[in-house]
This record gives sequence, C-alpha cells and structure tokens, in this order.
Amino acid sequence: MVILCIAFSTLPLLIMVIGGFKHDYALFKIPPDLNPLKDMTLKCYEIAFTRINLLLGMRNSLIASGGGVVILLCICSTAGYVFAKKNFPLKSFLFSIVIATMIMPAQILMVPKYLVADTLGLTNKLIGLILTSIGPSFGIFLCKQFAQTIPDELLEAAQMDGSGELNTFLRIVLPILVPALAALSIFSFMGLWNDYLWAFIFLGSKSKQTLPVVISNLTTMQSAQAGPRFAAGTVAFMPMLVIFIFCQKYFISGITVGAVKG
Amino acid sequence: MRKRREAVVSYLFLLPWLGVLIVFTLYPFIYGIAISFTNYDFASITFAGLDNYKAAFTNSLFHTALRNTLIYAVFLIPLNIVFSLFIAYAIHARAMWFQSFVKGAFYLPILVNQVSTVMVWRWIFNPSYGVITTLFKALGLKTIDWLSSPPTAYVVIILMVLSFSVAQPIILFTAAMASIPPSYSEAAQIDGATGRQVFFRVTLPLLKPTLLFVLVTTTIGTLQIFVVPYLLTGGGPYNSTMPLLLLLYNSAFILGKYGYAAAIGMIVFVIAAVIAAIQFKLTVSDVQY
Repeated sequence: MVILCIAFSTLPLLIMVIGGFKHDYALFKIPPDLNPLKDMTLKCYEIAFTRINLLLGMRNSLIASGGGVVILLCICSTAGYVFAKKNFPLKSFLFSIVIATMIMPAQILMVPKYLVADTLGLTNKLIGLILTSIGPSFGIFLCKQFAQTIPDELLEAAQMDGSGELNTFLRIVLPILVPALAALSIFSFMGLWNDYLWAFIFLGSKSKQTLPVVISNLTTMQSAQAGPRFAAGTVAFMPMLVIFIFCQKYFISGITVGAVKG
Repeated sequence: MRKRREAVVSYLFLLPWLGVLIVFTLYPFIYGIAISFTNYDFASITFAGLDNYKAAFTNSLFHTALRNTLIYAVFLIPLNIVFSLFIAYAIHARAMWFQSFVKGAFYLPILVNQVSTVMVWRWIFNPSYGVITTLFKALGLKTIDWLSSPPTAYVVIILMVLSFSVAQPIILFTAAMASIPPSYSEAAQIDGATGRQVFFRVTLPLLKPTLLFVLVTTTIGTLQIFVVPYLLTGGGPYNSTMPLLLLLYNSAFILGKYGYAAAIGMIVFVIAAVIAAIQFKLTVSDVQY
C-alpha cells in the first residue's frame, strides 16, 4: 500500500526525467514509449535551451535564490541573537510580531507589497524580488532557539576580554548558529528557487525572469511538444536533487524543530 | 547607563530585520487595509467606503471562487491528514533508512517545482494520448476528458496538490510518534487493547499538538492554492476551478482593480484567522498522562 503511494508521487518525476530524453514520436505513441533503454536523444534539451532562455532563467534564479539566502541569514542571525540574549524595550511586543508574521497568509500582502515596491522602483528588478520574497519569521525563531543555548558566561567572558559587540557576534554566536543557518539556507534556497507565483507577478520583462517562470513560457507556447518541457523541468530539478541528497538530515531537522516540542 | 547601551546595541542588531519588516510587511499590511476601502485602479484613487466588500459579497464570481476554495479545503485537509497519519504510523516503527526513503519519496514532488509537475500531469491526463487514457482503454473503460468538466478537474487538481502537501505532515507525524514512549502502548496492550484501540486512544491524543499544527498549516495552505489551477485549467472551465487567490490575482494584476483585490485579500485573511482560531479552540485540551 505504501509502495503504491510512493509510486504515485514519484511517477511524474520519472516521466519527466526520461521523457526529456526522448524524441517527439516516442512520446506521442499510444501507449507512450518511455523505455529508458531505447532511443535516447538530447534533442529536447537542445530545443529547450534555444527556444526559451533557459540559461538566463537559471542565472536569474541563482541570483535571486542565492542573494535571498544571504540576506535572510543576515536578518535572522542578528535578530535571533538579540531576542535570545539581550534585553531591550518593546522586546516582547516585537517578538509577538515575529510570531504574527509567521502565521499570516500571503494573500493579504500581495497587492500592497507590489504597489509599495512599485513606488520604490523595485519592481521588475531581482533585488526587489529578493527583498519582497524573504519571510524571516521562522528563521528568527529558529536562530533564537539556537542562540539561547549559548551560556551567558561565555558572552560575559568575551566582553571582559575586551571584545566589542560585533566581534562577539561574529566570533562566538555565529559559529554556534551554523546548524540552524545551514537548515535555514537549504529551505529558503529551495523555496526561492521553486517560487512561481511571486516571481511571475513581480517580474515583467523576459530578461529578469526566474527559472519557473521561464519554464512556464514554454508551456504556453506550442502545446504539442512535451519533450522539451520535460527537459526544462529536469534542468530546474537537478540542483534541488543535489541539495536534497547531500543535506537530508538538515531537511528533517529544519522541519521538526519548530513544530514538535521537546 | 548599561541598560541604555544594551538597548541601543540591540536595536542596531535588529535594524536589518526591522528595515525589511517595516517596508515590506508592516507598511503594506496597513496600506492594504487602507486600499481595500478605496477604488484604487490604474488611473485614480477615490475613497469608496465599504463598496469593495459589498461588491465582493454580492459578486457571483466571488461566490464561485469561495465555493471552489471550500471544496478544495473540504477534500484536501481531511485527505491530507488521514493519509499522512496512515503513512507515518506505517513507517514510524521501521528502520531509519526505510523511513528516510519513504519521506524522501514524498518530498520529491516538492523539489520538482510545481510548474514542471503540472506539465507532466497534464501530459498524463491528456485525453488523446495520455497514459491514463491508454490505461482506461486497456481496461475497457470510457475515456474521460479530465480537465474539461468540474468533477473530474477537481479530482486531478486535488490529487496534484495532495502530492505536494503530504511530505511535511508525514515528517512531523513520524517525529512526534517517535517521541511517544513505547511503554504507553505496551501498557495499553497489556491491559488488553487491540492495535486499533491503541492508535485511537493512546497515540492520537498524544499527537494533539502536532495535529493542531498540521491542521492549521494545511488550512492556510489550502487557502493559498494558486499554481495548480492556474497552470492546469486557468480557472476554467467557466471559472469552475478558480480558487480565491486566482481571483485576487486576476482582479489586481489583470483588471487592475487594486482596491477590490485588497478587499478580497482582507476577507481571506479574516477567514484564515477565524478558522485557525476555531481549530485551536477545538483541539487544545489537556492530555492526561
């Protein structure tokens, strides 16, 4: 029974990967010829790369996802550290805002965010996409949990040794936050890489489109050719697969830390 | 003096977050509420009171979108939870590598982004040359044009969204189940409980916190369905598959009716908040050990 469900969820993926290597006629045959040992070709990839600007999409996605992760890490580590170890006026109020933003559904902000970004001249720019896409709430929460495990004496000792605030942060706090930051980076990178809705709304010109949007362009052209579309999808998927294989344990820990007490 | 210094330092550290928060979250939130009371469109902006809300509540398209989203929710949430619980229960006592394998398998659809997955499913369900069609023909069943009529289109959409949404609950449930000491279920079995009774009377109640979390996140997720209906059917045929978020998108970015779209966003937000509050009330109760 479990096997059946697994097959169900992995089937489309297999079709996509194998299908990307087949000629047109193989895919149109009834039943479709998906035998991986027969007749494989790179033609679909060729079409995919030339018909739509796949390479450009990859570059844009990389910038958007990578940049987003970097900025997100800066925000979450600093805020998490402060919420964990410092006392300041309005602290609990600000933290309740963190929680509130975590559960807020995205719809309500969609229109105004776009309008605000437009006024600031950020629409249709990758940096605008980055700034509007990141949702630091969960990351702040995670970093706070991790930062709380740092013994206060350690920080005091550093201060007595004459370390400035920034120095303490960089030399002591950050290294301890590394596992949290690692899990966070993986998740955010994935989320940003695969994001379709916001990238679609936010970026107008072809030269700025990220990968999912570029692939969807291929869908709306030429309805008949499935092969190149599968090839494009496989290209988008490859980085995700690599990350997934190498970082399995971070995935699981990332999801469970926030939700399961203990 | 020291407290003051600490406060200053803290706020300096908080600047990155506060900067982004205020500009891209807080201000838009307030701005959104404000716009929803106006007639903001491409050209002009005039105050319109509750007009947008009235328009939404009387508009039949809004009702259709609401109905569609409700249909999705009614099927997706229970199916998701039941399915994830089932799978989690089936694998939680097995070897770690098996668990990782299963979790990985269900996580794959998320990694392959929705655009690509929709493409593949569309190809599978194509009435002329799709795999499903061939299968039906081989079994002697009548072929169905899946995407052209509501009930079957719903089936496809729900199946697809399910394939993305079960991974996280499965991971959460297996982790939660692993943290239940086996002595509880053993004690119950010694007292004569059957496997099923153990699950419903012992395991399930202890999962309440995780269950609540999954319930709330699935509900909010269902309210935000966009990609699948948009790419698969475009909301058709005749708007029968259009979810609320697609309506919002169309109103705002195609028709340019920002005020109306903002109102829709507010309505969805209130719905989500109310549902989350209800779910919270219903499931939070003392679990006796």
